[in-house]
Amino acid sequence: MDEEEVKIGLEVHIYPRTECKMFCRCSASFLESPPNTNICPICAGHPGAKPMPPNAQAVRAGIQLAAVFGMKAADKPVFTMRKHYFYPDLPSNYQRTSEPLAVGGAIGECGLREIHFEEDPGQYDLTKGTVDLNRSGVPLLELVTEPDMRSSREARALLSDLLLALEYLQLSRAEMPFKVDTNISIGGGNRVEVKNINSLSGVVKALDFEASRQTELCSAGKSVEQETRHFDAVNGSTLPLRYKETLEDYRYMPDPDIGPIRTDNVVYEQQENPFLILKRMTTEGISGPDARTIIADRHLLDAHSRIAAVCGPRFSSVFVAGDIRAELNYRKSDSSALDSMMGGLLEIAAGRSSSRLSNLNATMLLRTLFDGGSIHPAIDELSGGWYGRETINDVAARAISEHPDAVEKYRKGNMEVLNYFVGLCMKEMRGKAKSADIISALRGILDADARGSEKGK
Amino acid sequence: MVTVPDDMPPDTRFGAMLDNASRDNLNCFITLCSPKQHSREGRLRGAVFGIKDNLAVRGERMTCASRLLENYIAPYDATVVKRLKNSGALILGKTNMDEFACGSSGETSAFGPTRNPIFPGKVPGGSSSGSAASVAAGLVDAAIGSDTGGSVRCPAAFCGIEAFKPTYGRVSRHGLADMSMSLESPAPIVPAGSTALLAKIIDAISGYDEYDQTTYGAAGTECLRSLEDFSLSGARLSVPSNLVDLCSPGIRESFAFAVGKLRAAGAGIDELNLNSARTVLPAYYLTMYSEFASAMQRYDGLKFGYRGEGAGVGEVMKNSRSVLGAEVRRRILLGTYVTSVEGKSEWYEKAMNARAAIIEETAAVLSSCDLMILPTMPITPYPFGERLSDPLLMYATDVLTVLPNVCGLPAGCIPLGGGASLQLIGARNSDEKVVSAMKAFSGVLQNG
Ligand SMILES: [Zn+2]
Repeated sequence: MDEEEVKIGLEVHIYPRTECKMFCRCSASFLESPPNTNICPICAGHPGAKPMPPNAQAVRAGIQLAAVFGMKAADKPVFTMRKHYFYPDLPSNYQRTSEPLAVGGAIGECGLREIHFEEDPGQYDLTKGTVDLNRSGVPLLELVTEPDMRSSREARALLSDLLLALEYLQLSRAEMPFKVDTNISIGGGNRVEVKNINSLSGVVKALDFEASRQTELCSAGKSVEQETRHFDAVNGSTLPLRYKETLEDYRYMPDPDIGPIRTDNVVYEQQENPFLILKRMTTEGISGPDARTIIADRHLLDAHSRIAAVCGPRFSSVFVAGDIRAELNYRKSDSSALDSMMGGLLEIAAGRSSSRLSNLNATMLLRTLFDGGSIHPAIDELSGGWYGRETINDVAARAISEHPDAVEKYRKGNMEVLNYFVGLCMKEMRGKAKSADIISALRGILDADARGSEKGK
Repeated sequence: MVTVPDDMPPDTRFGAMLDNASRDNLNCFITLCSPKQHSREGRLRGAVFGIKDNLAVRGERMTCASRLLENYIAPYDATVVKRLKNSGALILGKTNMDEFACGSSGETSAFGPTRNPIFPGKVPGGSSSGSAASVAAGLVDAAIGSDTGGSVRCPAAFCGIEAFKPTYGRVSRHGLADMSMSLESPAPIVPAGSTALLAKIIDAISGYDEYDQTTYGAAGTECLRSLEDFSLSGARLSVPSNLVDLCSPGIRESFAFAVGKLRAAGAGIDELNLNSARTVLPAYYLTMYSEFASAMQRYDGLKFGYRGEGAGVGEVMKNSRSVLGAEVRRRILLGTYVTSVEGKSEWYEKAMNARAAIIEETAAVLSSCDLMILPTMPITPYPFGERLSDPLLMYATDVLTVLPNVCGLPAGCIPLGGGASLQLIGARNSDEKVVSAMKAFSGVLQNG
C-alpha cells in the first residue's frame, strides 16, 4: 500500500432554493431580517408547537439532484429522525434529520454515499453570548461522498460539478449554495475532520493545509490525532476546536410528530442532464470553462442556443461567456435582462461573426444595447450593405414554405417559432438584415396565410 | 361556593364562576384567566372551561405545573383552545396537574397537590388533577385535560365523573406540551351524566389540523348526532378477565355488578384473556420515557422559563434543569438510558416490537365485538402520600388505562360510584360508538 495515499471525503450541506423553512412557514431567506424576527413557535421550539410536514420543495430538490448523479432513490418510506445534543443554537436541543433520500451514484470518479434533508440550527455568537434563531429550521440537503478523492484538485473538480448541476437545475440558493465539512487521512492514518468551510477555494486551502500538516507529522514520526478542526479562512489554516468533541451519543429516534415521506411520488420537470449538454458542447469545440459558464445560467444558455443557430456554437460560446457575461458582470445585472434584448444581441452577434463589425464596434453596440438605447442608426452605419425589403421578403417566404411544421406551431399560438424563423433568415442573409424587418416580413406572410386559409374554409 | 345558574347571561355567569374559582380551596387552578372576548356563537356558547396547564392559551401562563415554566407565557393558542374559543366557549383558568404530566395522583405539581372534592383526604388522580377536580366541584362546566396513559380517565374515575380519550390523530396536539407524542391526545372531562356536552366538545375540537400531521385525513367526529345510536340489546362486549383480575376486590365487585346490569339489558358478554396484559405496562412506560426524554431536551433555561445561575452555558443548563421535580428527572434519566446506544436494543427496540404485537392483538379482539369493557382504575382513591415514594407502586395503577394509548384507540369512562369507574374501549375511529355507549350505559347503570 502506498504510504502517502491521501483519502478525502466531503459532506456538502446544500441550501436548497425554497420559500419556507423545513417545518414551518417562516421564510427561508433569513439574511436580511433583524435577529430573532424570522421565527414562529415552531422554529423557535416553543412548548407544544408541532412541526409541519417536511418542506416538499426541499425534498424534491434532493430527489432531483440525486437523479443527476445516478443515485438510487429510497424504496421505502423515509423517516425524519431526532438527533439529540445540547447546544444554544438548537431550539429543541435536537436536530431533525432524515434518513437517506437516495444512496449510491457518483460525481465523476468519486462514489456518493447518500443524500438526506435536515434543518439548519440558529446562529450562536460565542463572544457576545447571543443566539439568533432566524436561520433555525432553514432546509439543508446533505450530500455525503465516499472517501474516494486523492487530492484537493479532485475535491475542487467534484464541487465544481456539483455546483454546475445545482445552478443548471436552479436547486440551490443563489446567495449561498453550500457549506462543506471535509475529512482527510494520509497513509491509512487517523481521519481528521475540518468543519464549516463556506467556499470552494476554502475547501482547497483547508485540504492542502491538512495534507502538508499531516505529512509533516508523519515524516517526523508522530501520529495524526483523530480530531475535528475548524477552518480559519483568513490564514487559510486549520485549528483544533476550542472544545474537544467527545464521542456523543445522539440517541437517534424517529420523530413521532413527522410522518414518513415517500420518494416515489415526488414529481418534477424532467430536464436534460447538464453533463450531457457539457459533453455535447465540448465536442462542438467549445472550451470547458465557457461551456460550464453557459450551462450554469439558464438565460446565458438560452442566448447561446439562439446565437449559435445563426453564428455557430464556437463563436457564440465566446460571445456569450465572454462579451455578454463581461457586460453583465460590469453592471452587476441579472442575466434575465437578456431575454428582452435578444433581437439586438442576435444582430450584433451576426455582425461580429461575419466580420462586418469590428470587435471594438461590437463592444460599443453591446454597451448601447445594455444601456437601453437603440443600436439601429449605429449598426447601419457601422456595417452597411443591408438587404432590402424585397430580399428579406423572399428569404422569409422561402423559410416559411420549407418548414410547414413550424408554421403549424405558429398557428397554434407558439410565438417562439418566430424567433426560430428569424434565426433561419438571419443565417441565410449572414446577418445583413434587421431582426425587426425580418419579423415584419414573416408576420406579413404568416398572417396573410392564416386569413387565406380562414376564407378557404 | 355558590351555585351559578345555567340561564344567566354568559358574561355575568362567567364573572360569578370566576368569583367562585378565586375562593377554590382544592388547588384546582394555577392561573385564573381574565374574561376575554370570544366568539359569542357556536355549539359551546357560554360554556365555561378549565384548560390543563400543559395546553397553550395565548397570552396566558403555561407552567406545566413546573417551576421551570413558572413564568412562561404562551405566544399562541393550542388548536383545541382555538376551536373551543371559536365555538363560543369561555376559558376560566389553567388547571393544576402533575408536573409535566408525570404522575397518576395529582401530587407532583410544583404548585402543590390538588385535593379531591368528592373523597376528602384522598388523591384526585392525575395527571389532569385540576381539570377533573374543578369539573367535579362544579367550578367549571367542563375541562380539557391531556391523556397519555390515562391522565383524564384516572382523575375522572377518582372524582366520579366522565372523561374521554379520542382516537389518536383525531384531535390535534398542536399546542399541547409534549409528554409522549405517539401516545397522547387532548381529552375532555365533563360531569357525570353530561355525555351530550362531552359529545359537543369532541365534535368541536376534532378533525384535521394543518399543524398536526397525525390528524391528516381525519374527519371531525359526529358524536352528538349519533349520541342515541348505541343499543345495549344485542351488543357484544368483551371483558379482558386477566386485566380485571389485577383489580382490588372492591373494584372487581362493583365491576361485576355493572356487568350484570349490562347483561340484563341485553348485552352479550365475552370473557377473554389478553396476552398483552403482561407487556402493556412496560411497553407503555418504555415508549413514554423515550419520547419524554426527547421532548424535555428543549428546557435548558436559555430561551424561556426559569434560568439558573452559572458561569457558562453548560452550567446554566444544568442548574436550570435542576428545578425539575424528582419524578420528571427520573423519567428523563430512564428515557435517556433507554434510547442510548447502550440501552436501545435491550429496551427501546423491544418496547417497539411489544407495542406492535399489542396493537395487533387488541385490533383482532375489537374486530369481533362492539367494545371492550373493564374497570378504569384497579383501586379506589387512596390517601395522599401512600404511593408517592414508590414509583413502581404508582405506575402499577396505570395498568388498565394505558392499553388505549399504546394502541391509539378511543376510550371513555363513566362512574360506578364509590370511586369505581367503568372503562369502554372501541376500535380506531369508533369515537362516536364509544360516546353513545357511554350514554346508553349511564342510563342502564343509574336506573336501579
Ligand atoms: Zn418558523
